[in-house]
Amino acid sequence: MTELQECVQKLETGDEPDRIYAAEDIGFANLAAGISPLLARLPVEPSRAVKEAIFAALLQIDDDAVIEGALGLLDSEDSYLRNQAVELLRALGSKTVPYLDRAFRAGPPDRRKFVIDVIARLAEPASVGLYRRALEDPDLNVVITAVENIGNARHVQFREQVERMVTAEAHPMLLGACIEALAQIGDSTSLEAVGKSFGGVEGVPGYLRPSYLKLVGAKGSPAQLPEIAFFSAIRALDAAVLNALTSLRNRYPEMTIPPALAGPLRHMACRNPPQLAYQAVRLLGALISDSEVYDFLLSRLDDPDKVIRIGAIQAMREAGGEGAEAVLRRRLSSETDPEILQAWGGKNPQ
Amino acid sequence: MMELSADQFDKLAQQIYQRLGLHFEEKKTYFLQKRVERRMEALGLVDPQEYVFRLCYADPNGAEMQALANLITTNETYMFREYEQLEAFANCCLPEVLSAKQARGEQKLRIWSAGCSSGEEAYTLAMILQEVFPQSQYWDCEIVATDIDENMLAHAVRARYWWRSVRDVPADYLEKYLVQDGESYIVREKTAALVRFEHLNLHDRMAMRAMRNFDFVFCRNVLIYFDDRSRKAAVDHFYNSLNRGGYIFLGHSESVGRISSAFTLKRFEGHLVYAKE
Repeated sequence: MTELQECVQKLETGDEPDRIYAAEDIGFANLAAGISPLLARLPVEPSRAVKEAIFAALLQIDDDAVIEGALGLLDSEDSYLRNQAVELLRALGSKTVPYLDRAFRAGPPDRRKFVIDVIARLAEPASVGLYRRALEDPDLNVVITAVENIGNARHVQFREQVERMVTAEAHPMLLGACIEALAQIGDSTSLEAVGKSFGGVEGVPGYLRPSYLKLVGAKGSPAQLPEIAFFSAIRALDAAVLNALTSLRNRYPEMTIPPALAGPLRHMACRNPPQLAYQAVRLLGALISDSEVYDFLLSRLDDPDKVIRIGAIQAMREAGGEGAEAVLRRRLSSETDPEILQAWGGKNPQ
Repeated sequence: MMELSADQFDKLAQQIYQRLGLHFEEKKTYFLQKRVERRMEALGLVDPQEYVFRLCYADPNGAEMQALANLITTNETYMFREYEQLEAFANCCLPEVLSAKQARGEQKLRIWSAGCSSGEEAYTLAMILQEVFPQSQYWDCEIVATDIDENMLAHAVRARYWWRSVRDVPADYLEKYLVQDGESYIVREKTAALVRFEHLNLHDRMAMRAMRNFDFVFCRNVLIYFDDRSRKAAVDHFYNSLNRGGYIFLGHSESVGRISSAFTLKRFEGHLVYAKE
């Protein structure tokens, strides 16, 4: 009996550790003849650990039959097998593209969507043709998945096409995906295009406002600050407003924050979880010349949450001048927490 | 000064979790931001959004993730590191395993400290075992501590540590299980005798197969330095090395579930642990 036959036999009859080792050995041997027994075992194998070992083994075998086998699993009823097949194909990289292309052309909608899932991390130009076809797909899920991937992987050559998909009549899920994608691949014209589709910023439907604000943060300029101020009155948009302001400020460090935002930002710092409150406090630093803001930041130095204390220290240090620095010196002279000291500009903890 | 927005933090945290299995809580915003700042500086980036993209979509060989991992993980090892996890081991998992063994009439317990470095974790486990289970002296108890680095193993066998290694040892344990010798501390002989050090490369699949019949595997803050495939292979071997009912412990913020779905997640008094059922 050959070593491979022995492994195949153990894969079918051994106890769990033996089956795992058998799968591992077949993968290590890197023999194409091992692919079919491994694939055949998957649907009947009861142990998750063995199934994982089988997928790890398939990844080790350098033969295109692995790709064909994994594509076959995309049609499986078992979601675990489908997801693992997607992961396996992703790990196999660009060499899968011709096979994916064929599977996309011939497959049902679910398979077409999984194919687009697989190419999410493939570098262009290998995946561009598939995306082009996916954007024309009759199935909405396939189109949405393609738009999401195009944004995430920054395939900028699809910018105009994605912009054209933003119309008031489009499916809400598709609109959300398009605006989020434009936050990655768009430019200032994308912002205009989206605004026009809804007859101005006030016309952007509520469910799309977080995505729109993301686009403003990523591709807008300080000229959009009044739009952000408009949305700052809506509590449900706190996170989106703070993210947009922070992103704009990262891109335009000299940007002046309108005084009208002082009140909303103070409210946001009080009513949100620490991470968002920290952002609000940091942004308030730009308005420290307002005495109410100054007092507010001072009060945050006693906040029970360390991250907010850190935010207040940074805000006061950066914008508060000598007066604020003197206050910080008094308040922090006996501080020992390394992160607080770092925020104050003292000792670096690492 | 750049700021990570909340959604950028979420995306980074999600990516770090997916790729390294390390969990970052919201309260770690500032910690992560300072490390990202350092990476951005090194890469000449000014917009955090660019860094997020780089890490998530333009890091095909994982080099940037590894560079960030080096900044967000602590290389230092010391006794009683990640105390809460050890509490779960001492108060929940160990008693459960011991009573199951007692019920079966077994008197053998094996623990594996994988990637033990200079031995602090292995000796910590020995102290806990003696404290929680005084009858261990009548059982066949063994802590097998392995590492790839012979120099580290030689250091570990000496069982002698500077104060930095013992700074988190509870005072009563310090007195009971260690003895001060000038500026250093030596693990008492009875405790040290529970630990056996062995050379082992976690990438050596045949050597890994020989590691069998353990009730606990500790491999904390080691796998974060492995690539995806090797990490998965190591955890698969740990699964095989464990007896049914045994437990695996990776680092406090590392997720077993992210690496392998073979283990069962269990909750003990607020602690989450992974078992082989």
